[in-house]
Amino acid sequence: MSEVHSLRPLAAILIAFVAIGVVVAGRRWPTVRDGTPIAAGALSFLLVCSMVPDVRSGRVPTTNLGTLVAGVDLQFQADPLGMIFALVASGLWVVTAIYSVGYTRGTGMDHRTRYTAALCLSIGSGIGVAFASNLLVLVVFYELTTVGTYPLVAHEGSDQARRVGYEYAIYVIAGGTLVVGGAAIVSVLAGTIAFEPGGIEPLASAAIDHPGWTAVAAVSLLAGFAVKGAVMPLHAWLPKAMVAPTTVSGVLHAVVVVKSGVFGIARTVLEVFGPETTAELGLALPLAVVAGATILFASVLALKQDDLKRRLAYSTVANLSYVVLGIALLVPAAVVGGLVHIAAHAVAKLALFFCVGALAVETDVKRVSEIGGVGRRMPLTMGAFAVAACSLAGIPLFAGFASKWYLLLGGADVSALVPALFVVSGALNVAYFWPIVYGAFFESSATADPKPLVTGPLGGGDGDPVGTPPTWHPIGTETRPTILVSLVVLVGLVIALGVRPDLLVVFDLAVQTAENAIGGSGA
Amino acid sequence: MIETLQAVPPAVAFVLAALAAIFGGRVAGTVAGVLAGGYVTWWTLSVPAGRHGSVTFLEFAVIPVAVDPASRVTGLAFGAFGVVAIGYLSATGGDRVHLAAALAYAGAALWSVFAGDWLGLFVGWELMALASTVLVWLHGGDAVRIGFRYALVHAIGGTVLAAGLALHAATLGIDPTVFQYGDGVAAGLPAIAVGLGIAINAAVFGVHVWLPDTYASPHVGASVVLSAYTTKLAVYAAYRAFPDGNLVLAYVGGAMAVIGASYALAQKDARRLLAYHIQAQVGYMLAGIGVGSSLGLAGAIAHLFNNVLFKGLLFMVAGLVVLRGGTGRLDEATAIGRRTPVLAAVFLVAAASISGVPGTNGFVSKGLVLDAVIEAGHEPLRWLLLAGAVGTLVSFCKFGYYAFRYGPEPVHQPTTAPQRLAMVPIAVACIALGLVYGPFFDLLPAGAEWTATPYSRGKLIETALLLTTGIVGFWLARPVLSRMDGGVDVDAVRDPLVFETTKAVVSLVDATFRTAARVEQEVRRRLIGALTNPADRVRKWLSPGLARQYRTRRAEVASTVGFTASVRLRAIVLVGCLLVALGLGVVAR
Amino acid sequence: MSVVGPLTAGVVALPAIGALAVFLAEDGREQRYWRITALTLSVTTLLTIALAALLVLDGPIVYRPLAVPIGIAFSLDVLSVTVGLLDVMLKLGILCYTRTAGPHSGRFHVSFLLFTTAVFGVVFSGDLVATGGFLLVLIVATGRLVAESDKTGARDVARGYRRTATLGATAYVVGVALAAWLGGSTDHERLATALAATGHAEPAVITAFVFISIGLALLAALIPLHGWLVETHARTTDPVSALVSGVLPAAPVYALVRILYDVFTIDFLAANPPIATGMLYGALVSLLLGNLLAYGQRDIKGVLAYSTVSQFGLVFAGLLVANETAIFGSVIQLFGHGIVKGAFCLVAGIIAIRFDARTMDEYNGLANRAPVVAAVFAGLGIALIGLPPTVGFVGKWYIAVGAFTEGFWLVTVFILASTVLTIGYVVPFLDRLYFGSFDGTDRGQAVVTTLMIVAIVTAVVISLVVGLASVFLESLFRDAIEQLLA
Repeated sequence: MSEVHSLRPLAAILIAFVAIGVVVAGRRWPTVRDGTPIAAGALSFLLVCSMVPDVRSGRVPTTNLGTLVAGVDLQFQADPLGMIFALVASGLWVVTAIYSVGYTRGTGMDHRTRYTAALCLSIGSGIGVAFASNLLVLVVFYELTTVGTYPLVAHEGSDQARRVGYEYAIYVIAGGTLVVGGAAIVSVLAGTIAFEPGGIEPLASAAIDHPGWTAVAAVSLLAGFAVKGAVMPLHAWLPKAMVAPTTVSGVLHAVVVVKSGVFGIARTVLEVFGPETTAELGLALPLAVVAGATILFASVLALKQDDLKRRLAYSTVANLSYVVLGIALLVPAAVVGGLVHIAAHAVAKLALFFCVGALAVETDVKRVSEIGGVGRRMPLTMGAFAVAACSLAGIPLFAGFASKWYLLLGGADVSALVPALFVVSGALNVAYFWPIVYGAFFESSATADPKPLVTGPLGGGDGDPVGTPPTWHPIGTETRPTILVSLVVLVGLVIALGVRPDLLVVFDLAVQTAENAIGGSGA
Repeated sequence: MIETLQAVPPAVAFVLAALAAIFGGRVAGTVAGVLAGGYVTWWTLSVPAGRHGSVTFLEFAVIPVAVDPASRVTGLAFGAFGVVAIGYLSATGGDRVHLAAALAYAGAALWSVFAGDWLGLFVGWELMALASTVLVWLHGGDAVRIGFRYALVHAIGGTVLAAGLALHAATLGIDPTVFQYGDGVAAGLPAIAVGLGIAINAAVFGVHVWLPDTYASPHVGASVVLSAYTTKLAVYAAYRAFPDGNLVLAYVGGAMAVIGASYALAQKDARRLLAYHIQAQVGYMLAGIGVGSSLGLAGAIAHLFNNVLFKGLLFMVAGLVVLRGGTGRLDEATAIGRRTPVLAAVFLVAAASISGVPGTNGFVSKGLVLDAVIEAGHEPLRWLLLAGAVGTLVSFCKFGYYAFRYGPEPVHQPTTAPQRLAMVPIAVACIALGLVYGPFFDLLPAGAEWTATPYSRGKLIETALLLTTGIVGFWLARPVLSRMDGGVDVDAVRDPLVFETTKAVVSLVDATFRTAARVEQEVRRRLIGALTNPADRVRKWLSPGLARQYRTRRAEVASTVGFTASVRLRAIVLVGCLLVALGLGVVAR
Repeated sequence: MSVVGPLTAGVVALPAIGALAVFLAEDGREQRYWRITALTLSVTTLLTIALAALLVLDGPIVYRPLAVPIGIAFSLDVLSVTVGLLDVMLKLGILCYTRTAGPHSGRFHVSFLLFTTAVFGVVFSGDLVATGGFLLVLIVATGRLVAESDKTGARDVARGYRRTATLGATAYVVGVALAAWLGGSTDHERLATALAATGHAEPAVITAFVFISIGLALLAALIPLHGWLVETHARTTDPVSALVSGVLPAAPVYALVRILYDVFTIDFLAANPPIATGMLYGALVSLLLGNLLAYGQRDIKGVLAYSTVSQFGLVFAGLLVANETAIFGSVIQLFGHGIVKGAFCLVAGIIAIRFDARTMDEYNGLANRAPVVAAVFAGLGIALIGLPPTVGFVGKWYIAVGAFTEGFWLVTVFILASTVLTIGYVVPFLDRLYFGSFDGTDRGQAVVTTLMIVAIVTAVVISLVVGLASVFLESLFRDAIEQLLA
């Protein structure tokens, strides 16, 4: 890993902030306002992509803007781990922006300027989180993400939305504050808070001299990030934040917010404390246990949700903990799996939310119990939903398989309990996703079956399935083109990531990260 | 040209056909499917043994085409049967989506058979589960919920298999070739997990309920397709997992033969009856593999092939019975015997071969398995298998009796040409393979290491005895059989258990989280309230008079809470502070 | 050296002269008062900056116009100039506001300028008596400013303030008298040596210190001596509250620091750990309690007042941690908070004169009508919470790190906790501003001049720039801080 000076990391971030200016300036012209994010997203995605060759060949493009506070540089670096997140954030930004146009116009949303600008701010600062080269810079953008998403969460302006927004702000900024505390301790103990693959060396010695304080620092960092990572019991804000517009939920769940949480955990474990120190401090096991418990509980709770978005939210909580689990297992294969899952889950979950959003725009279906027959009204949309669900269920040749397979390999390496966990959670995955799929395509609203395993006999079956499902809607005319385009792109990504995980760089970057941090790759 | 074609996995042909069905419509799909099946048959027979090609998937070397006798025969069965199954599906009115799903399902199965390693097999395994689920769902109605249960079971099965493979890799150490077939799965936990995963797909007793449930519910053509692949692939996988045999497996197989047959006896629904027979027949195959001798393996594979033929044929017959009677229930269906001689004849052939009547392929391959069992000296296992054979015969007497002779005469409704086109060749093949088995034997694994004389005198006598016991048994047991309806199976316990458990767990977890959230909020509210608005607390402590002054004072001084007070009070506070601080400083030492 | 003297004298005297000018120009033409004041303050600002530049170059110096035992002695360094600079900059901002919004009277401008003289005097003076004298001027000036309000009861409040402050001053004077009696001088340097000779553990010395520090703590409105601040804040006009919040406590706090480190020196703290820790925890209590009480407020002025109390608790704590990092953090915080809080008061004023909205619920939906002001409000709020990269964050970061290095981990914890509380009372305002639905009176944009907008926007910019340039500032302050701790 050799640093090469380059302005590209900084540029990739700044684009977003320029875009905000343009959006605000061009608020009078809808085309400018809605088009800018697409252009900006594409631009910053291209910039990020342009750095891939360097990174693959072991060079790290770095922008250094001098010192932020004593001993901490205001520096951005595109290292493999950061690139994974940056690729996800900037790539999905484009899709989100395209979709957002269709969604805002379809729902006739107001305050669109504020909304668009805040969207740019959130995602741009997400890229900042990815490229931050030390804890403090990371925190700066971590908090900016919050500043950007708060108005989005409360956007609707209803009492509930505002209450939730308030709670969201408190939760997440409190988490950020914990991170600041941890960073302060680390900087005192180690003298530096710049990320180093495999951990900051001075910290390793500090862990021997002051184990207590090092542990405190680690816990407060992990806990702080876990708030955004929605690791139980700090997850409560996520299902509540579902009051936000669907695009926003997508951004929260897939693009930046929760991802920045787990990304922070990855940074902390792999590049601040390093696997050895983390293990010495005895934090790996608790973290893994908490993540495992989160996976189980969240999946179980997802079974009970009737509201589509809430069900997706709990599935997100579970999937984020896959990432955390992979990192906590501290074996190369698992780490690779966890990091790949960041991308795999992102594309799939974004697609799911966009489908739900499309339903909200075209029909007024918001609950699983109303889903019956929707597949005939919106075949492509629900088809995309099915594909994404397959991916999250970890079926081969879909994005989710690669990550889960590696998590499984790594887990089996550590303990047979992990495979057992996967069996249960896999079954639960099917149990809470399939009803939506078959309900949409093969049933009618009369016979909808929102919660098999929880209401009615196993897999329903008692309700005599009468009632004729609606007739098929002509393909392609079911909703706005912008929405369909973004869905198609996402489905393409899901399948591409599944069939050739190595085609999209994410996989190789994950392997690279694991090699740098732990040494020895997945296979 | 041929070489390049041979390097392309046959599954591709079926996938292309599936696309043709989706976009081209029903006719195009049928034609493409039949052609694909034909191509695969030719391919299977002509491709040289050995591994062809290798692609890297997730850092692991996946071998798309690996041909050895076992995979060749299985693949042949899948490919050749694909032709007729697709034909039958469209002949019984399956639409293009049905065709596409069926073709995708067959393609996935073929991929798994010819994949040269576990990862490849697993990919096909999961996709097969997916496609078959869709195939079941397409029928709508009750099939949807049944399909959901099917999906759940197979999701668990697939994950268990994956877990087993992961453990296998963990024991051997992860490297690109770790998943290639060596001499079986690592012993211990990996073997158990892989075995369980396979057992679920093979419908081993206890985890088999999905089988009768599912195969009795979808479109009749779909049942025919389904009957051929999932369980057979599981048998094939069992061979890959335990190439040197496994006694547990063998006796599990024996038990399945008996249990499957006896549950079949109790069935009134045609397709449920056949489904239980699948379990029984799979029992034979597992027994053959479990024995571990080359003869046993050959018998198992041979029986796999034959079973695909006659079981598929039986499902076709059952399908037509269902279509005619409008119901799957044999006792409610009309007798259709005399008016449809073709159907009756075909049924007789199929029933004969599944019951192992000499002159049919069932007799030959079942004979191989029994020989292997005797050769290995597992007497109890042999008796289990024989008992299974009797049960099989009895139940088919029952099937035939109810389907063709019982109930009022139907309107004249002969089989259509396409239906005959699908069924007759199989019937012919059953007979042919029963009489001229030499060429077929040459295809079977380890041909050099075993010899068999199917029509030995002893075996003929044995068979004769079995047949007579069977027929007599049926005439004696008929009153009992007519009263039995389905019997009680595992699902009577499983479904309520699973349901109640999940329900309880969910509500428990949910309640816990709700309470936690409520408590946390309440605490936060009270705490903040007490800390940020001490005024009210203060007023509570004060005497009424003071409290009144305090309130008025607060009223004068807007927007200040609690602590402001008159100058006098401030002076007191100040002095107090001074004293405290002084104490702090002076008394400190 | 030769230039520093006149410059100092000028900085201190010029506002007084300006005040005199205003006083003499008694012909009721209010615009003229404003011009005079503006002119004076601008010149003073320039002088101050020049002075600051000189001090950065030459380092701290002590400057004695007359050499008599009890006489004028100025001890200047970058820190003191910073406080002065804060004062004049804030005042310029306030002038931008008062130009149209008033108050316009001559009385106001006179005390306004005297206030500046007093502040400079307090922070520059190197002599306890002089400091006391300037403190008295400060109190009188503030009293008159507070009284310059049309609100009912403003005069009572002013009287209350004067009395309370006088109590504090008395305590201070008592302490000084005692110290002078012990050390035979009131000049910082001489007294320092004398006290060191007397021995820092002497009860008398301690008593002197306690009196002085309590007196100043009252003027700095540390809990439980903060009542006057809240009350004054609530009753007086917005520009004056800007001063009361931004500068008024800063001067005594700074004076206390000087006295603590110059006169009693760090050995004193070392000799009396109970005093050090006692004061530290007192500051922490102030920090936390101030935030909690602010959380309970509905009225913007109340919120700002209590948050000021807590912020000065923070600054004070940082100063008592007594290592370079923490003290630098405190200075940054002192300056940054002054600017932010002052601007906040002006924003509150602007909102009040346009929508006459004071309480949280009257803020509903103003963002749609006054986007810029709302944006500034949000920006200042973020700075107040202390989210990076604003000045609020940098200050807290340095103090937290410094404190943790010294082993005062409790300080770190308190700082973090108070941050969360700050969100608790800032976010509700933002929520009302942006997501509420407007139902109030709107006097139109006319009442808000560009000058006001410029002033508050500048404040936001400053808070950002200072946050990002902290390292540069640290390099400027390093010598001064080291000397302070020497």
